[in-house]
Amino acid sequence: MNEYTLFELNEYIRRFVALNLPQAVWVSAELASVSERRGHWYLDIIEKAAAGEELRAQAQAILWERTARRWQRENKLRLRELLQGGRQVKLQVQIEFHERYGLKFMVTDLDPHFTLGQLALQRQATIEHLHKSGVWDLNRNLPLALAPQRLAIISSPVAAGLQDFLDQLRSNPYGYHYDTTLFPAAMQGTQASVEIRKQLRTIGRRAADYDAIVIIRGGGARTDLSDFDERELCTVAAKAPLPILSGIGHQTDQSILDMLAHTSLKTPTAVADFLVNRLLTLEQHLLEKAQWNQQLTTQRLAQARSKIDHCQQLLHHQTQQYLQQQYWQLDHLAGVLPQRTEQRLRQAQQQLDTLEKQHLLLRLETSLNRGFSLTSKEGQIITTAKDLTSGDTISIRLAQGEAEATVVQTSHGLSQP
Amino acid sequence: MSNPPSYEAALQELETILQDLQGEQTSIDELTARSERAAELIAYCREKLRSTEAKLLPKVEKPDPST
Repeated sequence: MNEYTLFELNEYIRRFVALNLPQAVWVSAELASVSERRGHWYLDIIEKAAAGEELRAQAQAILWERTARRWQRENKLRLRELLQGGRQVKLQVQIEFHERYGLKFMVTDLDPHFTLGQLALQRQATIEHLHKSGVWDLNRNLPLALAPQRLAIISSPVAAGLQDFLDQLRSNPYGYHYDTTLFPAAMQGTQASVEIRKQLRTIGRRAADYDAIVIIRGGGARTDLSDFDERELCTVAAKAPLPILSGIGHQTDQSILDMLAHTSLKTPTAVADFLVNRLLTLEQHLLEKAQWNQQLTTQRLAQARSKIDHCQQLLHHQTQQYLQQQYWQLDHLAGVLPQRTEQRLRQAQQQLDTLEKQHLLLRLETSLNRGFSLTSKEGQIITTAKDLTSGDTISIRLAQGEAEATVVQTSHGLSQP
Repeated sequence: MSNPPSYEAALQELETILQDLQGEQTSIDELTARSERAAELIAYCREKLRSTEAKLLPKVEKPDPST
């Protein structure tokens, strides 16, 4: 068996490695941790067992500052956006073994498409997971207050976006007032998800104090969005008891958080505009309602007035008609009164006449019985011979019976007593 | 003249007098008195109608066709 000093052994291994791995190779792995010092990148790369957290392999890789600068220039990408803990990476590495410093992977290239592709797959998996677990629509289906004025803001206190948002909200020309409470959280980097989730839970416990949760951040690069694609963060956000208004500052793509938020807007300023417009719309709506109400009231009053007018006219008319009928009745009775009075008088007169006639007849009968007779011609009683001429036929009434006679001669003056 | 208790009572009395006049129930001695009573009742009723009309109808405004 050979025996070496440590240096001899390490020198042997160095030569062995250099001989067997003379050229750079591509290796895919997960980034366990990343640190950057003076432009150099120190990467802890690992591979986990297919299921679970158990490590199957682990190594350290270094990306020197010069290589990093060249790579960023050639790929027009920033390493900061790609090299983050938990990401899958595909690195081209030159394996070196140093007698004193041991095994080192020197990164010579990095495949950005692999990382971005992995991110997209991961993102799709998260979306599917959120759908399957039934939380996808929870926040979107929450009702947003008609006048959301009590706002719980999750943002970084130093973010430019936060200041833009507050300025836009406070300078609204309608004088609407908003109560804002800041729940500070890192809005990017490894701590973002943890801190945002913590603040979401804090707000959730005080949900009655707020109308909505506003999550805002200044502009950021595309890959930065992946902070808001994180599964746990999205789950907590979807379950938040208040509607989320997101303005996390990007023009082209939506993060998963944006998709499941109640309302997603492109910038913090747009969120402020949305809130101001909502109040404006409500106010206009209320004004219209008030106007309509007034119109309706006026209309109802006019209707009621015209109804009363109509009733009054009807009353007037019917009173008039009734009184007119009474007048007619009285006129009629007043007309009948003299007629009836006269009629009654005439009846009494007729009675008297009848009695008088009876009285006369009684007197005539007495005279006839004494031997006087009554002479008449053509129904007329004759009392003077002047009314008679020779040849006239006369009726002679006696006490008993009647006789007809012819005048032979008349003379005047004899009968005067 | 003894005032009747109401317009209706006056009218009733008036109609009775006129009916009696027609049916010869009125004696000639009473005729003047009853005829005068009837005339009084007519006057009473007319006055009652006039005062009612004066009280009720002037309050009603004739609808103005310009409004």
